[in-house]
Amino acid sequence: MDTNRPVALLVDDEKANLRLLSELLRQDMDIALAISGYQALDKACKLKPDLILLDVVMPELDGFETLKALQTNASTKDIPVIFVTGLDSAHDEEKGLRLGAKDYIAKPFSPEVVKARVNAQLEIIHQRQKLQQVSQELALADEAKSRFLANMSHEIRTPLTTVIGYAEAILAGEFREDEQQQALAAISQNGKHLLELLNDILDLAKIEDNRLEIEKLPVDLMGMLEEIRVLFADKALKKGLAFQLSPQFPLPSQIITDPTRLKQILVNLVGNAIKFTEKGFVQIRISCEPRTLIFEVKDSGIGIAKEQQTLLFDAFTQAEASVNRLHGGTGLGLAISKDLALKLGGDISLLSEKGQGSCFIFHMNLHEGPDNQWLTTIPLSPQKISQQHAGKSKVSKLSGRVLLADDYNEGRELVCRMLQTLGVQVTQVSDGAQLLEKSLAEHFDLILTDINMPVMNGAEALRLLRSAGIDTPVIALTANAMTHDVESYLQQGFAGHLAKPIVRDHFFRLMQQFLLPEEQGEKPPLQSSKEMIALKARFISSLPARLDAIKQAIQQQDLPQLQQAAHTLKGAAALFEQATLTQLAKSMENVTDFKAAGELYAALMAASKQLH
Amino acid sequence: MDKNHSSFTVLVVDDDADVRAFLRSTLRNLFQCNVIESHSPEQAVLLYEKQHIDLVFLDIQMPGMDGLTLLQELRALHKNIKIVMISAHGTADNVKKAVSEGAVGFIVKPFNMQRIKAVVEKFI
Repeated sequence: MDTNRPVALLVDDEKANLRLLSELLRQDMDIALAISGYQALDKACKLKPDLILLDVVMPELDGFETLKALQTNASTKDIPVIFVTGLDSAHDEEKGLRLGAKDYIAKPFSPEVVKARVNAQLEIIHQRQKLQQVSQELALADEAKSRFLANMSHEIRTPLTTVIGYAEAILAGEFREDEQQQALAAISQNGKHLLELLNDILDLAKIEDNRLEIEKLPVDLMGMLEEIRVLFADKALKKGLAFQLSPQFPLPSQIITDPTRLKQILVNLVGNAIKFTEKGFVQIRISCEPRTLIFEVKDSGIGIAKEQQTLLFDAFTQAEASVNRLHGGTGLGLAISKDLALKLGGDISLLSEKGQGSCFIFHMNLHEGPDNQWLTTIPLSPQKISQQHAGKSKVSKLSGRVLLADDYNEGRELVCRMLQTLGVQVTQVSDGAQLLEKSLAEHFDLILTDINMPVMNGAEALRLLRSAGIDTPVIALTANAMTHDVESYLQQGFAGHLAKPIVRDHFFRLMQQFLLPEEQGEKPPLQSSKEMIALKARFISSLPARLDAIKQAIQQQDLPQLQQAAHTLKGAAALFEQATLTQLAKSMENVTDFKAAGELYAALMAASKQLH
Repeated sequence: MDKNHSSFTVLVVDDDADVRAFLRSTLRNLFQCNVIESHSPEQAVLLYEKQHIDLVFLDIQMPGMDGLTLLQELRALHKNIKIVMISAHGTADNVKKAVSEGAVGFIVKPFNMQRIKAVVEKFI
């Protein structure tokens, strides 16, 4: 029997009718026959037909009674029934439908009408089944997501408990100096773990949404392997593990792939191997088939039982394993790596037995780079990488003035410290309006700003800054680290982007791009021309008249006049960098009673006499 | 900065003679351009209509008519007029208003030479 074809049970005590109906319908469905009500009940139970065509007038058990009996049985009660009968009174039709029949066809029937009505019923059945299936799938997916969320919030809560617990204990002064160091290390470690978790969740979400962008760049294969070696050699050594790269030549020197993602996969596989191996070795074997590159990461670790091997790559089940916290890592790494491998045109598989070590095999499509050469031995260029590595830890001093805007005090303070470490001068503000005002009034070499801030956001501040004719480069500091967000920041005119939490290396590298090294020092002071000196002398000689105007305004108790006179004095005094006069004039501009104004006037007179 | 800068003219509108004098000498020194001064909004409108002026420096706070209103009026009369606002009050609010009214720059007092230089070079 074809399982996809619907099954119809035809019930009639007249064999001729059965023959006629089955001739009519057999083309579209499989047919079962019954010549009495009792037989129909029996066959319905056994066959579970999709549809029953039921005669009404039959000896012993008539159609109405048969339908009632079908409805009392749980396994048959949902099977749709169509009456096909010689009883054609409206009363009988009504009775049939009231009993729950789906349709009622009177004999003699037209073959086309029967076909159409039966097909209509089948269509409905089919749709209902499809809906049930979809809703079941949705329920399963929903359940999986809920379980995932529940697991994740647990996974997030646990390190947070440590962070908050230690931080509060330190604040409360419960720790001695040496204990504090330990607590701080734990806070830092748990914070990093949370970040790792968040990045993994974002990665998963991107992969699920198909938003993960895969780059295609020429990559130096041996360089990439050397990076992996540098990254893990120490760790392996500390655990007393033999760590071995064994390239099986010939291998391509240059391949086309996404270096970030390839590295992510290798880091995950090698990291796991070292993590779960207490003694023995970890080996990376790289080999090549005509169109495939194969990385085998083999260890002598704890191994993985057969029944767990498939679950290993499933984000939802992996996330619950508390073993991850014990060993570090989020448990999402393998699921992500597998998805990434698929994206790179490959896959990851696993050979392992419990207690016998594991071998993860990652293969990917091999595309040769434009400058590819086939290598038969390891090329001599490992210095480059170790130099890069050494350069990372040393932070060279920079100079310049940086304006830093963020409404989140702790976060801003942290960035401020990082900037001060570099030797630059930092001015801090907490919203876009202050950013704008500060950068109008003073010169900065670089502005770092958060995007979401009260009063005025970072993007608006940048727009106004540019409209005001100020070209200071501005870098966005934000937690929205999706690639398309970054692109939109660059389009809006931001000179760069730093994702929070800030990665130190990335931060220092970006600062080096925008700020000059310390040696180059300050820019020369502004010109001080003869004319400037003349102008300043003219200003000083104009002071008596200016003060006179203020005095008159006070005497006449003319507040607008007083404010205007004070305002122009303030502007001119500031122009010639007369701080005291500027400050006094500013206070004068804001006075509300004339007694205070009188006192300020005296102070102004005194200050102006100091000038020559 | 090459070319013949004496071919452009800047109008400085400020009620304070010292500020005007400072801008005049700075602009002349930097660009060898013509500088016309005006102490009042009314005079500024007349001057702009009579003479060919490439760029206007306009103070925000002046007696009579404030600079933002004058900015609005001048922009209504001359669609392509280029106005740089100057003010001792570099508040975000003032900048917002000035930019939305079509100012092409905003400079605060006390002046910074480089800012003046940058803003002029942008539009001349």
